[in-house]
Amino acid sequence: MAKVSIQNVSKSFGSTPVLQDVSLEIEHGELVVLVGPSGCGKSTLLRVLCGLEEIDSGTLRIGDDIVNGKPPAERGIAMVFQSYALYPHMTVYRNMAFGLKIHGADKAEIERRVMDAAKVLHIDHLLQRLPRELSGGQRQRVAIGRAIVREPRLFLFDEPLSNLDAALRAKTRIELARLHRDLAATMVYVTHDQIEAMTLGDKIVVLHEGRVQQAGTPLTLYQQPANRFVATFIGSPTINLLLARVIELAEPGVRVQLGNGCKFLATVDSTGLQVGESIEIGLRPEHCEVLTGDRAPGVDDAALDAEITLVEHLGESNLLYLKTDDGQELVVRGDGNAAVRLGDSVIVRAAPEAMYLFRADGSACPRLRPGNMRSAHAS
Amino acid sequence: MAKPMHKAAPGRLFVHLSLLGYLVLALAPILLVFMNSFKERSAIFDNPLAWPTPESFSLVGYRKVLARSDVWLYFGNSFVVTVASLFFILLFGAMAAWALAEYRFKGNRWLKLFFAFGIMVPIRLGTVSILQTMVSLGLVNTLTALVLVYVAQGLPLAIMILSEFMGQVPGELKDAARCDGIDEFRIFFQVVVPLIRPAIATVAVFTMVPIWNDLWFPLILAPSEKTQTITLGIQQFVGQYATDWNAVLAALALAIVPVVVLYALFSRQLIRGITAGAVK
Repeated sequence: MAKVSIQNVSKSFGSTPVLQDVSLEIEHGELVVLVGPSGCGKSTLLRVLCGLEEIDSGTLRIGDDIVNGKPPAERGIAMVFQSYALYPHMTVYRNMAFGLKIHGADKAEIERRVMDAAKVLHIDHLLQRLPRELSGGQRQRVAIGRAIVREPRLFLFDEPLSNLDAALRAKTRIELARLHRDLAATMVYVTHDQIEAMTLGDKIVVLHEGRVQQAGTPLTLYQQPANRFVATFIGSPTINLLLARVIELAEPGVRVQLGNGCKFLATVDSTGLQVGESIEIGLRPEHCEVLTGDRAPGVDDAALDAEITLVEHLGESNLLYLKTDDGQELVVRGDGNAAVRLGDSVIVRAAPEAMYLFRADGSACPRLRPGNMRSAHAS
Repeated sequence: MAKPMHKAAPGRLFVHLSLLGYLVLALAPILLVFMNSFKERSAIFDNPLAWPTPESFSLVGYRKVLARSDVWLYFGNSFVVTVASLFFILLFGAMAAWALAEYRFKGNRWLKLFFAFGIMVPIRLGTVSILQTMVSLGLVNTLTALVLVYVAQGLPLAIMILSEFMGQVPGELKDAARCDGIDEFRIFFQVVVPLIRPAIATVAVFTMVPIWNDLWFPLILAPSEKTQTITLGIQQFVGQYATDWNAVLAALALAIVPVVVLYALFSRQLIRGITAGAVK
């Protein structure tokens, strides 16, 4: 197991830059998840770590070795591919033993390692089968087993669960988390599924257009996104963004006004903001409170009038797609039991602690007391 | 489901009829050779289209052919030339195809085009210069000369077909092998070649038959008593004034057998879907 250090790594395919000055530290035993939209460079970063792609500049360190330009075999890594990439003409046993055998490992040692890995992954009864005789989940385990037997310093996973169906994916995810704990191995994991990212990662790295947008714990990314991109990428449904203008720098917080006259207080750090500046409010669907009926007298301005344009019933909650009276759209998560109909008028409220604020350049104002509707009520 | 099948029936019938017609056309001469090789000389000429009857049945042709020891030598020569040529065509063809399909290097496309050019230009156009080359290399009347020419003749098509198949081997499989620390030669021989075995068998069948049947180059490059191939050797029974038809037909019938056996061996490899289970 080892520490990994990526310093100022850049890489282009022809004239297209895919990685731009990427720097990242991965601690010993940490599971780091790389997320981002397609084409953001996350898979390339993984292939660069693996040694399947050369880098144009920068330094890669695994353990104490600088591995720039070294072939994959000399890096002490093992990779699990999205398509599993099992050798189709070899049995499960031979698939797992192939790499070891080529390197002239002792036969008894190979057998011991393969049997150990097979037991951990519950594939010891499948060792004499061919990959085509296995189900998707079993193939995935074999692919992981092939990585384990090499006893690498670093595991690389390239979207390993995306070919599995939803139920199996959830199950395998939990097994992977357990495996990570048991092996205490350093792992880098690429995915576009944010549930995988949030649940598996000790640290999440959000990539966009070849740059690291933010690296941090799952909760940090959720509560204190560095910019608008990270905020929209983490969280489902996506955070609502509403155009607004700064009207007062309160202490603490900022008061903003929407186009329709609604005024909100947001408890964020106001450093650098100016009155009159155009900003965007971020409001997570799960942090909004939806009130039906007419606006009660005494409710302040900090509420939006909106009309329901679509309802998605999820059982435990409803997703309400709303349109405000000034034409902005937003999604809120409401009580699953509430009777709502298309065309109903509702009032949306949110606590000042639930607000995110983004400057025109996309950077976020640090939130002072990250919270949601409920924690705001409690305080 | 049933309705469109019925609708397509006249079309399918036509396809099957034309294929059947083609089959008859292709098999008739072979059948004729086999039928008449078992008949007496007079019966061959009386009614060439008749099956051998108990009266007309005769193995005289086979006896004559097999009695001559040089026939076995001719068979041996044909076999050596065909197998050696096949071996080198498949080995070098697969390796060149792998290089062209897998590695990006300067001139890759030009090299591919160059090989494709080899398919378009018939090698027989170069017969004179090939003969000159062989003379100066001192290879005339050797089987080596034939093998060299056939390898050159077979390579372009082999490279073309195999590089197409190599391109279909999933990239992640090769990446996985590289991560496993397997060198490029082993990836080629132990991962890629087993996966494209059906394609290799196809190429083998396509290149084998013309080599076995060739008369042109054995006649020009290796007509000596010791190096004749079977197709050339059979010509000895065709005389300027009298042709020993029994012997010719028997020899032809025998010449078909090895190539059919080789074909049967390779066609067992023509199994599709061998990559199933590799990825996804």
